Amino acid sequence: MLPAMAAGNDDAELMTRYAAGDVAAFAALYARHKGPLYRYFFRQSGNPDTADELFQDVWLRIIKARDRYTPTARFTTYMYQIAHNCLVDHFRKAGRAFTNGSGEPTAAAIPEPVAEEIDPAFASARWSLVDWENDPADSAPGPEAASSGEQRAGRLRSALDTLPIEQREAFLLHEEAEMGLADIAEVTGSNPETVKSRLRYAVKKLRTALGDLAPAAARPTSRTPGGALS
Amino acid sequence: MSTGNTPRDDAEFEAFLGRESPLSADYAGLEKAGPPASLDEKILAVAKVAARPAPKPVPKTEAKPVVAPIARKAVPTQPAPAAGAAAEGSAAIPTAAERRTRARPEPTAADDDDEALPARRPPWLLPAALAASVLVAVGVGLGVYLNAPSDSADATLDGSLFAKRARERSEESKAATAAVQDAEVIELEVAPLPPPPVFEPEGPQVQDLDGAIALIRKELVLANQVAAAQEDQALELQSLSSARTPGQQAAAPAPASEASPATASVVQPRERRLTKILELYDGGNPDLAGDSLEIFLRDFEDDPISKRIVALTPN
Repeated sequence: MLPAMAAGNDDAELMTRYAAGDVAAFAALYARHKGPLYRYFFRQSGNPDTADELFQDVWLRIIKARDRYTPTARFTTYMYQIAHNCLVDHFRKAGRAFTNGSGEPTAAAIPEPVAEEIDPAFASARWSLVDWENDPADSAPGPEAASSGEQRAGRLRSALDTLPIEQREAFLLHEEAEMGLADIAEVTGSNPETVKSRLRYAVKKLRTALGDLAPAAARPTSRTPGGALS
Repeated sequence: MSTGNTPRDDAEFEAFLGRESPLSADYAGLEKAGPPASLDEKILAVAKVAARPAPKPVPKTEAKPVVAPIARKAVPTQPAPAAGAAAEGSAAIPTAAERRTRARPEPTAADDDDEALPARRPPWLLPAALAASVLVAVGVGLGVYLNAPSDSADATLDGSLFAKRARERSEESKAATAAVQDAEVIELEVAPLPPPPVFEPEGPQVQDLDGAIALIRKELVLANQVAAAQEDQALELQSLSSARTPGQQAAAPAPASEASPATASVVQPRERRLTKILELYDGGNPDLAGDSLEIFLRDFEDDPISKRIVALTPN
């Protein structure tokens, strides 16, 4: 996560310094944003190779456009706009539609997780720790079942995969890039009300997927009699 | 999927927007995936290469310090850190100015010696360098001037030797030039004249040139006599016509055979060429006279004199 929203000014300054030839400024900028940006691509594509490719593409574009960068907007917004465009191009090449915010996409429009179409083999193994839809522990929890925290994590990952792309993107930009509605709208080219609607749908679906499992911080970790984490 | 929003949903959503929702905590608890280290290195390397051509503005305060004797023992101050240099991660990679500062150690007590100050030059260094340059230039000039090894290896390079060698060289040069000019004159005189063009007439051959010349001479004498007689006749006719009246002069037509003095005095080509042949023969060029005669025989093949000349046989 970003340490603070006030880092935007620092980002612009670092980018300006890099445009003047200061490589250390770029290293600092990269270290600050590489994790959230990578997870934005990884959660959207579900494929580490695709995430690597898109992640690299974004940074190469930033490097290439360093001389034209003007700090008129937050660097985070600038960077995620590039990331959004890369992602749209990727989905277009993969044959998936990425609505441009005019209409509210439905879950039926994107019936399966993105990764299953891109890389079925990876999709079957990516969340191998907990598959809440087929996990017997979900239907019959017992001492050998996974802990509720892991269950919640697994359910959350799978629920994220089932979200429509636009809703998932809005959720990821809110959580990873710590963006507000206005910034998300600017990045995605939508109006803030549409973004708010997408986020509301996403939150509701995710909360429904988590069900009545208590949050990990609120529930004590259940342990097996042997003391190992279940 | 239900789209209706309950008050609980609204409250949870507001909490989510304020990052106070358990959902945000659950998402924050997911594994933190990140790019592989190889990708990090690759991107940073590309960024470094891309930033290399860009000129970095160097403040004047970071320029090469001027080392003056009065400030030799002063400790140079560190350059002021650039704005924003305290940003996270920037300290790991020093800037170029920082590297320059680190590469230049601070002066110590041992640096008080003059040898420890690389920027100081002895005052005699510049004149000595100029003198050495002048000596080298003079040596090179002399070497080019002499341009040849000396006959005596131990000869001293004094002014008399230079003057003597210069005079010798001048005399040698003049002698060589004169020899070349003489050789060219002799060559021109000795060179044989090109052979005269061989003229081989296809017409009748002159067997007896002397006899032919005699015939030509007689013919020309006869022709001159005829021409003189015609001229006298023409003058006589002109005097008679001037004694007539103008009306009779206009009524009486001129006789057809009457020739004007100008017409009579005109030398015909036949006689002119024969005269030329005689001139050549009398001028001591019998060969040219013979050649011209053969050409005449060919051009005036049907002329009586040509037939008589061809009919001549050598004695």
